[in-house]
Amino acid sequence: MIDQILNNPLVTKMGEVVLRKGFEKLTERMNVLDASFSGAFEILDRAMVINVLEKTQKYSFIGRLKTNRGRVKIPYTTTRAFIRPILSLDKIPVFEQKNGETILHLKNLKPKEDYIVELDLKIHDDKFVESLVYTKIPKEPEEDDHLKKYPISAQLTHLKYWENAFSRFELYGIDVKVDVAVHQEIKLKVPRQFEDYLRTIYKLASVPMDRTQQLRLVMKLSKQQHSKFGGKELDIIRELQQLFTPAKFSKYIEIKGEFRYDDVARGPDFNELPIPTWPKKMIVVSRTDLDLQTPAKRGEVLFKKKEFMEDIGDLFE
Amino acid sequence: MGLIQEIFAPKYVLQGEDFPLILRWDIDTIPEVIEISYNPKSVEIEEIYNIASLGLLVIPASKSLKIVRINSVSINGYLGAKFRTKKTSEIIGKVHVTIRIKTSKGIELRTLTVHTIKPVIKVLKSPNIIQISCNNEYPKVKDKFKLKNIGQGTAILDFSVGDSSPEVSVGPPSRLGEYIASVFNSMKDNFRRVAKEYPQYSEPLHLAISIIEYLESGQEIDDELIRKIKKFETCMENLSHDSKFMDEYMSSILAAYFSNIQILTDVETFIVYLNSVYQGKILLINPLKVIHFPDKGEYELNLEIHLTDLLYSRYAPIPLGKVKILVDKECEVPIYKLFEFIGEGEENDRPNSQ
Repeated sequence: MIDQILNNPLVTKMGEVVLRKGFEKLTERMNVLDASFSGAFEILDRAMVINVLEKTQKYSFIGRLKTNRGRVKIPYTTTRAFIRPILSLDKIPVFEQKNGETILHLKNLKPKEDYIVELDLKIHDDKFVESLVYTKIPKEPEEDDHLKKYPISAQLTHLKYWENAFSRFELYGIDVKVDVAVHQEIKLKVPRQFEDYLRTIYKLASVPMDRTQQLRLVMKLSKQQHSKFGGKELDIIRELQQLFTPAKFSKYIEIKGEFRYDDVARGPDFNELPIPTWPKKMIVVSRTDLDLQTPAKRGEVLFKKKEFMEDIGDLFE
Repeated sequence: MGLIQEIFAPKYVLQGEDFPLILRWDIDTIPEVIEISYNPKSVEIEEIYNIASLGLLVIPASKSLKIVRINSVSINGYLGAKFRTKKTSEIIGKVHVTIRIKTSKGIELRTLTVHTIKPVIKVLKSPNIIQISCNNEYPKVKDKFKLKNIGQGTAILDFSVGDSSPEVSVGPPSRLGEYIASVFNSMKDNFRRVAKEYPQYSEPLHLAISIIEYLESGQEIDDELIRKIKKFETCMENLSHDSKFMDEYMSSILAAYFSNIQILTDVETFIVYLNSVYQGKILLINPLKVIHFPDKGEYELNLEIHLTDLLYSRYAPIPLGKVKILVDKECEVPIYKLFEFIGEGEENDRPNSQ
């Protein structure tokens, strides 16, 4: 049945069949599980729940036992495996893990009885989410004087497959990482005088120069030190750095719509090499869940830039 | 309320960027047909989600109109798509996508407009002669190039001095050369160590090493570097779930900086940062780059601007032509000093508080 579904135009590239990379790996595993169990069970209903954060897939099915002779060998290690009669809550201890395989011993089960089987497996393919979901974060935000708005969305690909193969298919914790650009806001709020003052200090401390130049700079510095920044430069810089810690920066972020806030971190950026001490962007992670009833979600990551700029401005007051 | 409950596409994307379409309608109504029409010169559909088998027909109506007809969906109430925009000569392009949904109750029509943006660097002033005085605490540059980003996309700029006077050299400032070399060396050593500990992640780490080697060589950005950076970023994004490895990776970078920190102070890193960011969505890729003039005299520079956007798309280099440089003594001049970057309302926006 699964092969037949795979031949249908599930995801279409102008009429041609396109299967996203990684999707086949996941369905291949489903085929192996189906093939393993179908000798002993008539599979009546299947469900799949994927936890993106934990990288696990919970495969479960309701099956009618055809025979209790022998055993079912699954060529995967499972982090959890259980079987129970559909009308009972008691799990039957018939699973065994051995040499990278999970073995279900059938002899204590009753033929023609309906059972629920659940297996938790680790997903080793790092790109599996990419193959199941199309997530989109625009590189450039919509922007006004108060906010930067990044519209985000997630859509299940290969819906036809999931719908045909499972009565329940759920993906939890799909992550969407938005690069929130902060450099313009910092640049706009750092007063020119402060920048000049830093340059003078730096120049005096680090650049070899003759006496006349040195004297000129000392005079300039002594004037600048009477400004409100005098002697506070390192404190200001360090307080500014503090704004980029997750605890502080998260207050400038609001997630709207069908996504939820998860985390924020300073963005690594090769443009910053070899001096990556100051972030040009912050990475905001938000998450959502998709299932067959809600195969698409959308939301917005809002960066309250005005508030952020006001707080930077306050450091220089 | 009409049949369509929600229709979504972002308002702005970069030219060449993909964008999603989400269409939701009342699940109690089954559409007879859904049509998506667009101009294939400006956009193309890459993927459609939730169509039933054999439920799709592409009708190339004309050179400037394509219609995709969907006869049935797999799960009623939703249709999704992924579009890819095309590059255009316009500073801001417009992509129109029209949805026509026909049910037994009638027809509903909606049109979405997505603006496709890009960075566009306009040279407002290109001097023939630039005088540089190096007798002050900072090199003073008279008559700079004036540049403005008249596009709406962020412009990431790098500069090269191709066919210039042979005595002129470009690179990191000499006093920082030692620092940069030792940071890069420590970083490469640390990455090699981490790659041994995490052989399964050796690919991105060796990519990072090769990117560093590229940067060390002082070459301008080219397709090869962009390909490596893109690949590296994708790899790292996919590994971000492995917090133990990510901690190890980040500490290997920090260790490289901290072991060399005596040369660079908090103050200097902040100055470098400020030098790399300009209003009007302009970022400099290497703000440390300096031009070294070995002696007092007259030189010729043949400057070229290399422009990329946030998608790492490369644009045609912008030649600035040959310019005569008069220098009053041997000195190193940061390349950005030869430019003035004009932002919208810059003079009023930046505080001058004292």
